Amino acid sequence: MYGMVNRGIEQMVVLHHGVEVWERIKREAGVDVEMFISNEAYADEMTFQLVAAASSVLGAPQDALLRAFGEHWVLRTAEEGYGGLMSAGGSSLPEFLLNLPNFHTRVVMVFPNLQPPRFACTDVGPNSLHLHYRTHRAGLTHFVVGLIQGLGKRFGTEATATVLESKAEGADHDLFLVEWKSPVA
Amino acid sequence: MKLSAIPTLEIGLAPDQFHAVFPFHFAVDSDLRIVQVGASLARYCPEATPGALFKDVFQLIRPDVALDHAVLMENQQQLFLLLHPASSLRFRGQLLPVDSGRVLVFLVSPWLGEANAIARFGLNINDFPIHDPGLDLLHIVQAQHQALADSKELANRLTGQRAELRAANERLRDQDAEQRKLALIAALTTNAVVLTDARGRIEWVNDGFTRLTGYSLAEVRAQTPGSLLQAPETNAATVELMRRSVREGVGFSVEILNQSRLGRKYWITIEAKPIRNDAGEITHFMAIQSDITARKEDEDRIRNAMSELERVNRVMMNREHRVLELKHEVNELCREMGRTPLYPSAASDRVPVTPPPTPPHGE
Ligand code: HEM
Repeated sequence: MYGMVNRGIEQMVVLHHGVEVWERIKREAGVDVEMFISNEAYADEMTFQLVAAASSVLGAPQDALLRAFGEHWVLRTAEEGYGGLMSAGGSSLPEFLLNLPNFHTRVVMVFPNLQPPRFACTDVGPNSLHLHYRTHRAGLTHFVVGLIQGLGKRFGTEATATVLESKAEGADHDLFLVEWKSPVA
Repeated sequence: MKLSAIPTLEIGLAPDQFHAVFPFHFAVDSDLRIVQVGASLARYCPEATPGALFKDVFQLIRPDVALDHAVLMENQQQLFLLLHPASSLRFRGQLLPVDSGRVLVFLVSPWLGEANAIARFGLNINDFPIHDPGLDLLHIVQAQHQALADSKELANRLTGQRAELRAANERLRDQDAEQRKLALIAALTTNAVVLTDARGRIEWVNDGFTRLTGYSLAEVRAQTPGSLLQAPETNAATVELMRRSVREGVGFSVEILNQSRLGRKYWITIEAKPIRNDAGEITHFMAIQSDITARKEDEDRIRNAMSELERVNRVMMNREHRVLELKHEVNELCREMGRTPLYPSAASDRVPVTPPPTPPHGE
C-alpha cells in the first residue's frame, strides 16, 4: 500500500493523541519507518499492523478506527497531499464517485508498481448509487465506508454507505449502497 | 500523415461524434474567421463565436509565426500553443486543414501544466473527453509535487536530526574531555581516590589507593571501603557518621584510623562527595583519602612532650611544697626550743593549704 495511507494514519493519530502515542503505536506494530513517502509502495501488512497496534494502544475497535481514518484521509490527508487533484475529481459527491474508476486507472498509469482498487458505479439514481469495490486486499471495507462519509462532508452532503454484499462473507466483491441527501444549493 | 499500404476501413466521424471527442475544437475559414466552436470551448471562451476573428479571441504563442492562412498551412506539422488572454487559459493541439485548406480545424484542449489548474480556472472535468491526456497529466504533475514535498520534508527532518546528533556529539566530547582531565588528576595525585556506586560499593580506585592500602582494584571492586580498611580501634562514631552520610546522600569530611592489607595502621582524612546525573540522582560517591599519619605522629609527640612537661612541673611543685612545709616545721621547732626561727617568716605564710591539682587522667 502506498505511503499516503500510512501517512494518513500517522496524521490522524498525531493530531488527536500526539507524537508520543504515535511512536508507541509504531513500536508496537514493529514499524521502523521515519517518514512514509507518498507514492512509495509499502507492504500491506505494515498498514494492517499499524491499524491493529493503534486499536490496542487507543483501546478502540479496528472497524471504528478504519471508518474514522477513512474520513480523516479524505478530509485532511488527500486534501493536503492531492490538493488540486481532489478538486479535479468532481464537483459533487455523485460526480466524484462516478469519476473514481478513472481516478484509480490513472494511478495505474502513473504508478505501475501500485495496485489500486477497482471501483464501478451502477444503479445511479438521483440520491443513491451502487458502488462496487474490487481489491486483492482484505479488511478495508470499513475504510471505504469512512472514505465515502468523508466525501459526503467534503461536498456538504450527508452520505451513508451500507454494505449490501461483502467479500468477507463470500460475495465476489464488496457492494455498497451509497445514499446522499441533495446538497443545499 | 501518410496512408498506410494496408487497406483500412473508411472510418469517419459523424458531426456529433466529432463534437464529442473534440469538445474544445474550433475551426476558421481562410480569412481566419471562426466558423465552428466545440461546446466545451464555448463555455470557457464565450467570445469564440462564429464570425469572430481568430486574433480577437486567441494569441498564437507557438509556432511563433504570422497569423496568416498560408503561413499556418506551412506550419501544420507543428505543435500549436494558443493563449486565451481573457481567461489566461492555454490550449495545445494540432492544426488540421480540411476541404483542401479552405477550413482550418484547431484540435486543441486546455493545457493543465499545474495540479490546481482545474480549481484555478474553474474547469469541469466532464468537459474533457476521456481520451484527452490532460487529466492524466494532472496526476503526473501532482505526483511530482508530492515527491518534491516529500524530499523537502525528509531533508528537513534529516537536518533536524543532524543538528541533534551534532549537539549530542559535542556534549559527549565535552564529557570525554572532562573525564580525561579527572582521570589524569586521579592517576597523578599521591592521594588515594575511591569511586563507589550510590550504595558505597567500590567501582574504581587509583594507584594512590593501592600504594596506601596495598589493595589493587581487582581485589576491592564491589566491596565497601570500610569493611576492608577499618581496624578494631577505628572510632565507631566516625564510622557511623560516614554510613549515615552515604545513606542520606550527603558529603562528609572525617579523620579516621585505617589499616592496610599488611596490618599497618595509618591515619587519613576522607573527603567524600556525592556525584549526581543530569536528573539530579546520585550515581556515585567520590572519596579522596590523604595520609595524615605523620601529622598524627607529630601531634602525638607534642602531646606526649606536653604531658611529660606537666608531670615534671607537678613533681617540682610538690617538691617545693614539701620544702616549704619542712621550713615551716623547722621554724616551729625553733620557736618551741625558744630560738629564733631559722627561715624568714614571710615564707611560712606562703605555705599552700592544698597541693597543686593533678590532671584528671593521671600520669
Ligand atoms: C485524489 C484522490 C485519490 C487518489 C490519487 C487515489 C489513489 C490511490 C492509490 C495510489 C492507492 C494505493 C494503491 C496501492 O498502494 O497499491 C489507493 C488505494 C485506495 N483508494 Fe484511492 N485515491 C484517491 C481517492 C480515493 C477515494 C475518494 C476513495 C474513496 C472510496 C478511494 C478508495 C481507495 C481505497 C479503498 C484504497 C485501498 C486499496 C485497496 O482497497 O486495495 N480512493 N488510492
